[in-house]
Parts: sequence; structure tokens; C-alpha cells
Amino acid sequence: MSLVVQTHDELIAAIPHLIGFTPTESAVVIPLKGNLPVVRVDMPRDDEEGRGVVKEIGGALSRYAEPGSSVAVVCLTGDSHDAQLTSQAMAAEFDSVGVEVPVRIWAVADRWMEFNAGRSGERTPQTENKLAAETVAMGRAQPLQSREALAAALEGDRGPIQVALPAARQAATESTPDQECAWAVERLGQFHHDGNRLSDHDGARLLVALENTETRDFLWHDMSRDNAEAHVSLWTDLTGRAPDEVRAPAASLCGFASWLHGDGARAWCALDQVPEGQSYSMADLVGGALQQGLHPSVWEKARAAVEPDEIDESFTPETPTRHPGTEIPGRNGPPPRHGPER
Amino acid sequence: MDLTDDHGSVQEARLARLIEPQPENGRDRPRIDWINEPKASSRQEEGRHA
Repeated sequence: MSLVVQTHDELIAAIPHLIGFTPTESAVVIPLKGNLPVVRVDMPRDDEEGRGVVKEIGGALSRYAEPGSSVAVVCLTGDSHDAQLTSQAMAAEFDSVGVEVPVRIWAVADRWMEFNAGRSGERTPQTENKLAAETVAMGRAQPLQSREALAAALEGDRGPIQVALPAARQAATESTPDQECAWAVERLGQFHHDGNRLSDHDGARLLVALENTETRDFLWHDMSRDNAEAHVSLWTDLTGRAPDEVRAPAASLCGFASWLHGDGARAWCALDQVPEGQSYSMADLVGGALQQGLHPSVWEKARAAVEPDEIDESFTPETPTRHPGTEIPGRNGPPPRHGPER
Repeated sequence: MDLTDDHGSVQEARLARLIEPQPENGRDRPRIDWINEPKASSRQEEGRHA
């Protein structure tokens, strides 16, 4: 299914459906030709920030540009001068890496102006409704009202799992890391099968199990672009319900799964749920991938590349969606850690 | 900050190898939302403009 737009008004109205929320004070890059991502960034606060952002986006686009690639730049801001400067800077930078910018638009709530051709027009509710109806017909979820609403979806009721945590920790001391890892892998498999929200008991047990880096890696390794949506669902829910002391691994897994699913905005929001003051190396790495605009397909290749020192036959719980012949994470890292990594 | 240094797990090391080292102030840069088409889902729109 494709969302085909015919006019500038329709192009602007399509933006929330492309990125999952309605952006404000943002510059949005929309591919017109070529297999490029959609990009959204806050309008730069000053020239220096603007230069950095433009360079960064251009660098990432250059990795994926094909001959003939082109994009539209839409600046959604109250300041037409900022829109002119930012879109102009993007056009110059993108052009230098082989991506044309035939359309540069400044848009506010009720009108738009296209700088290249000097045309302008009105934005209409009818167009927004038409695009919304088309996406409903495609079976797509409707966009959230704002990026803040996307972030809020990752903040749930953390009380019930907080209550369940002491018992989960006590039970973990009476088990072994390998047993808890095997249970976590099996529980993930059950989620893949039924899609049901985890109980507070299972949620607490899984969050405690994730404090062991090897267990976390087994669940991380299960992720692929084919099942990323299910992982996003699981880890979004658990990130929202996890108390501070056990949230960093779940938030990082949510960030990674969101990136793998193509949703960079949700990925950033997930990483924001790593409690302030806690340093968690997986979160830093996922943030690096997001900042540099890595395409999720690169993970498939990295995941498929087995390195000899990564294989250890001593412990191989059945990975939920594992296929014969794929590798599992190695166990030659540091001993299991009990608590978020520092 | 070099994200490729000293990773305690195979998965982290694998991801680190894909990322270019970032400058010290890398975390202060504005966040860029990259939206890529999922491999297999209903989200298969494209912004095409005539």
C-alpha cells in the first residue's frame, strides 16, 4: 500500500502519518525518489546548531542515496526566515551528496509557501481528513498529537511491579542465572505466540532477569526486522511499568526494537526512560545508532555474521524465533551483573 | 566518546562496530528522528509528490 500525494497541501498533511505524530517547530525531510528515510529534527536554535544538523543529516543520506534521489524539505515553524535559511542550507548540503531538493516548503497551521517556485496556498481540513481516511483504510494507527504524547506512552503505572519486585528478587536468589535465562527466553516465546500483556509477577521476574547481561543479550538477539513490532510492543509495555531500579535494560531493548522497526522517534523516547544518572552502555550504543541515522538493515547483516569466539555450545536455551543455523550470543563476556551497568 | 571501546557483551560489541566514534559532545547534539520503512508491516507509505 502506498500513500500517494498530489499537492503541497497533501504532502504536508501526510507528515504526521509518516512519522507517527504531529510535529511542531520541526524540519521534515520527505523522500520523493529513492529509498531514503523520512527525517524529522527540531528547528535549529542557532546557526551553529543548524550547520551541525544539516551536515549530520546530509552525511547519513549520502550513505543511502542512489542516482536520481530527491527529497522535499518541509519546515513547520512560525518563522518564515528560519524556514528559508534552514531549507536552503539543507538543499545545498543534500545536493552536495547527490540528493536533489526540488521542493522547499514553509508551513504554518493554515497555509504554506514553496520557496523554489514562489508558490503559496492554503492548508485545508478537507485534505487532512482525506489523508486520515486513506490511512484508516490501510489499517494504520492514527498519529499521536505530538512527540510528547509518544513519550507519554512509555510512562505507565509503575506501582504494581514495584510491589512485585521484592518477591521476584527473592525468587531469583533461589534460582540460578541459567534457569532464569531459560525462563526469560521461554516467556518471550510465549509472548510471541499469544501477544498477551505480562502479569505483574512475570513482568517483575523478567525485569530482574534482564539485569543479567547474558540474559538480556539472548532476548536482544531474538530481535529481527521481521519480529521487531512484537518486541516494540513488549518492551514499550514493560518500560512503562518498570520502576527506576530495573528500567534501563527494558528501555534500551525498547529503543533498539523501535530503531529496528524503523521508528527512530519512539526509539529516542524509549532511551529517555533510562533513569537520569544511570549510565547504561547499551542505551549509549543505541543512541549512537540513532544519531548517525544507521539503517536497520545493517543489523541484519551484523547479526548474520558469526564470529568464531562468539560461539559457545555450553548453554543454548531455545531462542523463541530462532531459525536453524543462526547463531546465539556468546558467553565469553564478563560475569553476570546484578544491577544496571555503570 | 568512542563507543567501540570496552563492551561487555557480544551484542554490544556487534552494535558498536556499526557506529562511528562520536565526539565528546555527541550526546548534546539535537536529536534526529529517522523513520525507515519497516521490513514487513502495514507501514508502507511513501511520500510522493507530483
